[in-house]
This record gives sequence, structure tokens and C-alpha cells, in this order.
Amino acid sequence: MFIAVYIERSLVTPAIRTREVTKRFGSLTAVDRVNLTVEEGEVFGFLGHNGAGKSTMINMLLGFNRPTTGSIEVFGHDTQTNSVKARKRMGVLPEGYSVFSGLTGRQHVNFAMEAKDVDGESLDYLDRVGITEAADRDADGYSKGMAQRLVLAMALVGDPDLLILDEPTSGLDPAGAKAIREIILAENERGATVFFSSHILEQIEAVADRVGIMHQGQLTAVDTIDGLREMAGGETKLLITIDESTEPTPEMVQAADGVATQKGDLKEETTSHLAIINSIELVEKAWVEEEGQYGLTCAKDDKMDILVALHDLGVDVLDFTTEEPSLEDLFVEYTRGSA
Amino acid sequence: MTRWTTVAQKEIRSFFTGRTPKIGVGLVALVFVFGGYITPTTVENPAAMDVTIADLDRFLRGIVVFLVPLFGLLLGYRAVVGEREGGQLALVLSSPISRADVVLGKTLGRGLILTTTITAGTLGAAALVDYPFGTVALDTLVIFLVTTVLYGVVFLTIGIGLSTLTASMRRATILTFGVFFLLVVAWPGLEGYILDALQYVNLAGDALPDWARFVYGAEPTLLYQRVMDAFVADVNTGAYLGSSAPWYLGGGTAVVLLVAWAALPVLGGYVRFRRADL
Repeated sequence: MFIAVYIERSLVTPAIRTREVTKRFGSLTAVDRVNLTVEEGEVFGFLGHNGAGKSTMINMLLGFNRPTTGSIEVFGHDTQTNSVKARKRMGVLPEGYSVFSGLTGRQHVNFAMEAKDVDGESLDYLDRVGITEAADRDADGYSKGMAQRLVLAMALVGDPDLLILDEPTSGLDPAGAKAIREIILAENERGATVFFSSHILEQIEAVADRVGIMHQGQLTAVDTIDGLREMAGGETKLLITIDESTEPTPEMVQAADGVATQKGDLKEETTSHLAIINSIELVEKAWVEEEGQYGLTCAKDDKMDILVALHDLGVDVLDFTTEEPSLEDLFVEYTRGSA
Repeated sequence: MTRWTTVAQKEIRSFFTGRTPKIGVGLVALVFVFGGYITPTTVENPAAMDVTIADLDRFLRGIVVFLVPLFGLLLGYRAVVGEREGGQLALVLSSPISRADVVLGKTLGRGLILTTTITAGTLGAAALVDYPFGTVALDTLVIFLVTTVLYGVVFLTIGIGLSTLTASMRRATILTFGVFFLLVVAWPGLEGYILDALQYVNLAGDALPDWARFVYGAEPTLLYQRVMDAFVADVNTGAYLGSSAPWYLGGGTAVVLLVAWAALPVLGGYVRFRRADL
């Protein structure tokens, strides 16, 4: 038992581990007793409104700010006493930076390469973020989006084990945001752990393995996106339009009735189609939405199976739409009450 | 390449972005050269009297004790706080660069700018002193140059020290102005008040006691003057350099104190900055 615990500890150093981290600025508690572990190899999305404490948390990870109480380790290095060692394995896109005046894009990347002791061609990094043609221009004159790409290029220098990106898509157009998502996924594929913050749910939903929700300084929830959905009672709603001109055969209705009765559903103004839909075991609840359209709820993964089952039962599905609870709904759910 | 040279290199590049710094640096060098040009005309019979660096010192001293502190402070006072407020520091510290690397790199980068400027100016001045009427002794020239650079470095590191103390550019500016006023403008005139105060508490007679003279004279501008008096102008009279004065009021001690001034403010600032929230 003790040996097992010991081995587990020595083999698996998490990329990030915070213990009871609190940060106060005067009377304001920006971060309140946060315990967070990010394992190596995952993409962790850090979600919260502006001012929720995300950046304060990231600044403490980087050693820019010191926690009032608690400790933060990055790959086992305490960020208060060993910040440089921790940052050797990081690539960082910080919040509220400015580019260096008088240096070209290429010189910026060279700076990062020298600081990280990395040899190679700086243009390769600028290529990856798509600003090759601006390499020899003064970075002072870059647009916000280009500066964001440049700093991302600096973060990618030396294939870091941990990428920390504070609002990486801010200031970018949709194409730029997509490019960033692709880079995040590619870096993760390479083996990097990615920790990135955003107040935009879609950004996080698209790439994150796990999500942490920060609200008023507290880490309100940490889970996978599906897990969060489930926790918030998120069931998928399926709306199907069927061709009612083909009546189901009486045998089918009868068979379906049997099942429906077993399920205990009382059918008041039921139609034969509703009975058939209800007869599918995966359907949790079904109702008539309007003429020719039915609604049902089910688990997220069962959507296709239900459509297949309907087809097998001879129901002609003309069209269908699904409604899943968005992270926005979840977010509102999680942060309600205390706001 | 070490990390602080990376910082120093970036620092020098960034410094010369605008036109103002280039003009400023050029003007400072020009003042020295101008001094070298004028110096022979301040000597009564330059054809017969050898014009030397001592004459250059005599002519330039009053300008140097104003210009060099101003130059050093202006060069240093934004060094850290400017990038802290502007956000470039966040970018620097996103790399595995320590805060010590930042302070050291900035001090060296800007120190190099200061040294180059004063050296260029002084060498230009020395050439004009040497030709056509004078002779420049190499040892005096080196002493003049090294002491003046050191004097500039003292105010540079005071400036950088102040720039590490606060996160607000405005506060750094006010502090710098205060220091300039105290050390450069006010201090040389304070001797009389200090004597009055000490007499009031019965610690002094007609003149400052030696220990008080030591403390009062440990201010950078007075130290610079004493080093120049002792080793360039060859003064050997007065309360500090006279033959009856104790050793610790002499030129050698002044050199040591000046070196200490060059190191301590920036070290003190770093100790505060090391653990500060950005």
C-alpha cells in the first residue's frame, strides 16, 4: 500500500498541481483556496468570466505573482522558489503583454530561442503561426492578431512540455482562432500538456479534454465536458419530423403499445407514431411537438441508435434536429446563485 | 550566450528605437567634445602653457556634475517600471529568464550605452585638448574617463534601482525627480545647515567633526569632485584632501565609496523586486 502510493507519486508528477492557493489583493480575494491538478498530456480549458481569477491564477503559475497562501508546483518545481526551472519547460502566451519596441518578429523569436537555449531557424516558428511575410518588420507595427501569433510562436520555441495560454484567441478573427485551435491540438498530439484560459465556451469545448470553471475566485467545477453536461442534467433533445402518410401497421402499434405500457407511460392523446417512438427502449420521454413533428429526450450517445431503430420499425424520418445543452447553459447553471 | 546578455542585447536594440534617445546620447557626447574645444581658450597663454586634462576638468566640472547625473537617471529610471507597466516585462519573464537576469541585463545594456557615450565624448575632447596646443597624459585621461563613467553609472543604477521599486511610472518619475533634486541640487549647499544642527546638539564646534564630514561627503557628487580633485587636479589642501585630514576623507576612500554607490542602489532595488507581484 505504502509502496504503491510511493511509486504513484514518483512516476506521475502532474504538469500542474496547486494546493489551497489563495491570492488576496488588499481586501479583495482574487483566488480562493484553489486545488487543481492538471495531468501530463491533457488539454485543460480554464473557463470563467473576466475578473473571475483566471489570469491571477495563471500569473501565479508563471511566478509573476506570489500566492498569499498555498503552493503551486509545475512539474514538481515550486513556482515561488524555482520559477525559472518551471518556466524552462513552459511555453507561455501571457496576458497584457506588449511586444518589444524596435525588434522585428524574427528578432522576437530569436530572443525566445536564446533565452531557452534552442538552436534552429526562427522562421520555422513564424511559419507555423502564419506570419512569415512579416518576419522582418518591426513588431511594433503588428496588428493585435499578428502580435498574438508572434507571441504564440515565441511560446512554441523549444517544444515545451507545457503550454500556458492566457486567452489565446482574443484579438483574433475566426480564421486566426481556428489556427490557434489547430496548433493546440498539434502540440497536444506531440505530447505537450496545454493549459489555456478563455471566457468563450466554444473555444474550450472544441479542444479541451477537461474543463475547470473559475467563478469569483473559486474553482467551481472540474470535469470533462461530457461529465459537466451530465452533472448539470444535460440530456439531448431530439426533434424528428416523420412522414405520417405511411401509417404503421396495427401489429407494430400493438407491439409498441405493450412496451409503452410496461414503461408505464400513460398515453392520453397518443398517436400510433408516438407509441412506436415510445416503444424504443433508449427513448427517455417522447411527446408530440406539432403536426408531424415529435420530440424526445435521450442520452447523448443514443441519438443515432434511435434513428436507426425508428427506421427499422418502418417509420419514415424526413428530418431531425438535436438540441444539446450548451456549455453556456452549464456555465450559467454553475455560476448562478453566487453571482 | 547567457540569459542576461540576451536581455542586454534586446535592451540596447529597444533603446534606440525612437529618435529622442539617439539625439539625447549624441548631445551628451557633444557637450564633452565642446568642452575640449573651448578648454584651450580658457587657458591664458595656451601656446606657452601646456593645456592638459586638468584644464578640461576645471572647465567641464560644473557642467559634468549636472549633466552626467541627469543623463544617468534619465537612462535608468524607466528601465524596469516602463516595461512592467507597458507589458514587455511579462513577455521577457515568460521565457526562462530570472528577475536577476532582467535587472543585470538592463543595467549592463544601459551601462554600455552610458559608457560608450561618455567615452566617445571624452576621447573627442581629449583630442581637441591635445591638438594643437596641449599634451594629454594617458594616466590622467584614463582617471578622468573612468571616474566620470563611474559617476554616471552611480546615477544610472540609482535610476534603475528606483525603477524596480514601484509598479507605477508616475511614482518612479516623482522619485527620480526627488533624488535628482536632493543629491545634485540641494546636497552641496547643505553643509552649513548640518553644521548648525550639530552645533545645536553640541556635537560640533567651529567646523564639522571628521565623522560628520565623512558622512556628508559620502554623497556621489561630492565624492566625484573629491576623486577628481585628488587625482586629476592634484589638490592637496582643504578639509578633505589637506595633509592634516584623516585618511578616510581622502581620494582613495572616495573611490571605494563611489564604487559602492554604483552597486548598492540597484542591489537594494532588486531585493525588493525579486519577490514583488508584477
